[in-house]
Amino acid sequence: MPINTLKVSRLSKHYGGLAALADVNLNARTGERRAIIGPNGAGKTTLLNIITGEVKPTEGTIFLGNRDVTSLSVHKRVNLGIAYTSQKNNLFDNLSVFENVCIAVQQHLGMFQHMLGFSESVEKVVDSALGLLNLVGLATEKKQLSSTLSYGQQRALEVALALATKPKVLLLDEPTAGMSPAETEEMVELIRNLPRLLTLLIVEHDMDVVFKLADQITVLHYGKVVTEGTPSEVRANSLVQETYLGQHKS
Amino acid sequence: MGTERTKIITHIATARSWLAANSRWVLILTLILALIFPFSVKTYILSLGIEVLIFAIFAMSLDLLLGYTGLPSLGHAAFFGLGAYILAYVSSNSELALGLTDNLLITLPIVILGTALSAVILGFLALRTSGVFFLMITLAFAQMLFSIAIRWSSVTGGSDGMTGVPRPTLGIGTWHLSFTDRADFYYLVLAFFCITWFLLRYIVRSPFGLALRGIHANEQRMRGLGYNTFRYKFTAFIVSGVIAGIAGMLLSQYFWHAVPHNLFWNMSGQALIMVVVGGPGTLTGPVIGATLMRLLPNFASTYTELSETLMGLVLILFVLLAPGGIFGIFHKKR
Repeated sequence: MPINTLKVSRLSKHYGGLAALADVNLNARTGERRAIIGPNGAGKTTLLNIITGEVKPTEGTIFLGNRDVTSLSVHKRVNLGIAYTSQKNNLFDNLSVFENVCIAVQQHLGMFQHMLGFSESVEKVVDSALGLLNLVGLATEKKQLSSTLSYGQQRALEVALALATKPKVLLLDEPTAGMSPAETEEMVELIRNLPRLLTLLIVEHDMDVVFKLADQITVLHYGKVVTEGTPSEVRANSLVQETYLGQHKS
Repeated sequence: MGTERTKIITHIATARSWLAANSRWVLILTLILALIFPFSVKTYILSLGIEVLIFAIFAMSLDLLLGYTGLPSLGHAAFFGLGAYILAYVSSNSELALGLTDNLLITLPIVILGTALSAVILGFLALRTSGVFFLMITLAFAQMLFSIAIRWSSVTGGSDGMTGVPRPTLGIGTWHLSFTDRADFYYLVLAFFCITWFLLRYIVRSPFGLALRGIHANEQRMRGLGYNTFRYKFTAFIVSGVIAGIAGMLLSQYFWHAVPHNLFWNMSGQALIMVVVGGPGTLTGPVIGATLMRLLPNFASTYTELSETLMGLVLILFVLLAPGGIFGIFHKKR
């Protein structure tokens, strides 16, 4: 029986009088690829930020496996297996592509290993960094500064950084936003080919991308879960058609 | 005008590639020059050389914070002065001090421990802030120590400072080295300089150094990758503070006293200028900066009364025209 890798229970977030999220429940099983859709301001990014720990919820709990992570800091959650790529590219601009990935790969060694720098572990870091660059198709650009990459390449590097932390759950906030159709196609391929055991939570506006990748969809509207289910179930939902897909009932 | 400009640019490019290809030989040549230096110069120049090396150690220690980790400390003199005062308190023969020993095997660990402890305390408080707040807390801490040094004269010697600091010795049992002579002391300072340079170079090239540069570039992303960034900044802060303390120790041994001016914000500012003018985040840059900042006023003051103004002008020009510092002009990153 698949376990619930990520479980969000009765989550609320209030900003003053405004409820950005109200009583949100979400279960993502191991290996599930769940898209979160909804119009602007529905609370999608807030939800992701609460799961990563960047934002504290007003109420509710977050479980990773059996562990309550609600009160843990961002870096502790990462070490337990929650990784995140944000909507905007958020890289280390003055470092090379290779150094960007190395920073992410070496993290698990801990500070004392970083200081003593045993050559054996450093070699392993280099190997897996190169492996990740191959995976996302940036091997030839490894010596460039990350700021010189094209937008789409930077998005791919973002994914490499997130994967480098060996996550159990990967949160992708609009992975194809601002990309050309060709770049979008490559990114979809990249995400589709990720290990099947990795649980994905994808916030995405592009419905084509959503239907290509997701096996479960959660629809958020004004901070509430309106409906959830398989792509075909959600597609059939009249409320979704009305509020989000923009296909008015005639 | 246009062709002149292109010429200069080509010259710089040639110098860059030559330096890149021959960096090992430049290093060895510099070291040889540094070793024969005391035999070939007048006492006055040798004194300047000692000062330059001590301030180069101080500037390099700040570079670890400012250039690599991106922490703009305006209170680095706190550790510089503390190193001077701790050493003076342990080894000076004035009646204020303990006057225990001038043996480095005992005094050095005490200086390291003392400055490390104060770096732990200040780092714990200051590193919870960033940017201008970090700058203000470090400044306030150094100025607080400065006023203690001035006011609490029964312990610190007040504005006269603590006099009677001996030049160090090094000895176990019957084996014994003395660095009282100026040239001998020069070699001791040179040894400390080389150790510091290689140690810091090792640190900044290690995975730890990469993490510090990551924190400089994007700290929030570092946390997002699972780094406990506080621990990294804290460690860098302590290492940097201890090295600054050692520089201060050497200065008090060289000038035979520890004075409040060692703790004054002007001293922190000088170190900051050395790093910025020389080239932050390069280690070698701050050494060049320290050389320039210690030598220029000496030579300029024989021609003009306005040497401080001149230094200010130099700083403004560098910040505006060459943010990578002197080192940045001749050394192309990647």
